[in-house]
Amino acid sequence: MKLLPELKRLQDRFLEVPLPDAVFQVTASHLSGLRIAPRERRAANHFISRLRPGVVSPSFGRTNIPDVSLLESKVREGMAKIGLGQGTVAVLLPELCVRVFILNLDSASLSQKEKEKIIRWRIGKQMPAVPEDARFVFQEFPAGSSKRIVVAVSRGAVLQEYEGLFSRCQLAAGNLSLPSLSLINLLPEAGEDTLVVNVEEDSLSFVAIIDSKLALYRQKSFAFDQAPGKPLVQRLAGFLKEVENTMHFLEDKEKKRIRSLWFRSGLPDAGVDIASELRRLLALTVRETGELVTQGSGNGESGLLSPLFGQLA
Amino acid sequence: MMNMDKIRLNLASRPQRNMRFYHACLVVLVFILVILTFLAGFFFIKYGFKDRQAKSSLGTVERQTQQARAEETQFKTRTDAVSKAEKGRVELMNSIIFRKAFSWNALLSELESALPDPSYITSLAPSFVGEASLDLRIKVVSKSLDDLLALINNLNSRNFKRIRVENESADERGQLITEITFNYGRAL
Repeated sequence: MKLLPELKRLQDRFLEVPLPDAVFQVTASHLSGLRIAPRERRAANHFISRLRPGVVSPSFGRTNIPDVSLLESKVREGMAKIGLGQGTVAVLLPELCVRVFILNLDSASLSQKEKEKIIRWRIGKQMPAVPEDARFVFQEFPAGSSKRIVVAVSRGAVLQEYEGLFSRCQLAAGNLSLPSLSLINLLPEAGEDTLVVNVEEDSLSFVAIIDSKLALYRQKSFAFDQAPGKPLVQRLAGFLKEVENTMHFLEDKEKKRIRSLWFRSGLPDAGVDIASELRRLLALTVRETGELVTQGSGNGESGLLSPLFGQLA
Repeated sequence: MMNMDKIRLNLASRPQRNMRFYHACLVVLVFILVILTFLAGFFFIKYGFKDRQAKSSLGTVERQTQQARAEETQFKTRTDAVSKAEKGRVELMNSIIFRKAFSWNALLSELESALPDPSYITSLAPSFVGEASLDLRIKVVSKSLDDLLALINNLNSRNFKRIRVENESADERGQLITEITFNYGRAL
């Protein structure tokens, strides 16, 4: 029965959203890119470009790119490095410019419009001042008899800043997503309950998966202490406190103890050190998301690039 | 990933979509269009050629028809001219032929059969009228009016037309002497 796999391939070919030509990630501290070989579904080439402070200033409500021309030149440099002239790209936006909510919806038989209405109403309860140009996207996941819905909200003006930036570089941003959500796609199948932690220079994101369901998304503006000369243990204090708080919240809410943590650092210099310190300080199995990247990016960059690889999964 | 669907949240204004199906449909449509265009061109050229041929044949036929009409008109004109020129002679010839071919026996037999037994003809004056008929004037002696009427009825039932009683008188023996004119037409 060779027909079924062939049919599946045909179905995928005509129904699955095709991979973009490249994936870019923009954060406050760096710009990275991954060239994709779509037929092989693998990374062909990559670049990481450090950004000086102030080039990108991630925010939900305000302008994100004060220095557009510099970022544009960085994008063009990156394109040249990975051999990309034009095409479609997926862009992983800074965590702070998007708000993510996880909702439970008991009424399973609602129309799309009704769902949207309910979601907007429920988000409005949690976010009193919803901007007029707010863009909502959501995805449903089965959760027993009800549904769990992941909602991402962002301002249209902010999204257009990024879309415009890539458009001027002859790239069509056909997919705008978040690094922490992209990391979830990398996690192994049939895994245990886990907490995914994504550290950027300006933010902390936590995504908890319990019983193979998204249980929590937490995002926090967080300035990682990078003072030179200060011992890492002291610099990690604030970060550890946030991890502990999140674990306790999950234990209270879900009545389950999480023993596994996936860690991804968007700090190009201190990632490995932080992971080893976390292993030492927390009574958890701590693994770096770089381990999930099967295609070698080499020289310890897989952790930093892991959200980009999540788009390949 | 943990037995969970992949997260595909996409905030893009124009999300990337799989257009392969539409492209495939487009390719098929373009292919069909090309084939149809080719066929249309082929039939256009083929039937255009046939149309030109048919028009050319039609033109030839029309020219031939016109020629035939012209010939017919010419022939008719000539025939009319000949007919006019020869009309007098033809009529004369026809008259002569008619007179030559006229069957006096038949006429006399008819008259005999129409005449009642007691009656008899005392005079008969024939004169030809036109090409195919004969006017007759007869004098009949009848014993009674009934015989005269029987004669007139008999003439009526035969090839005699325009029967008119012109004159009537009685002789010394009381017999009726009647002058009758009538026309006798008989096909040659």
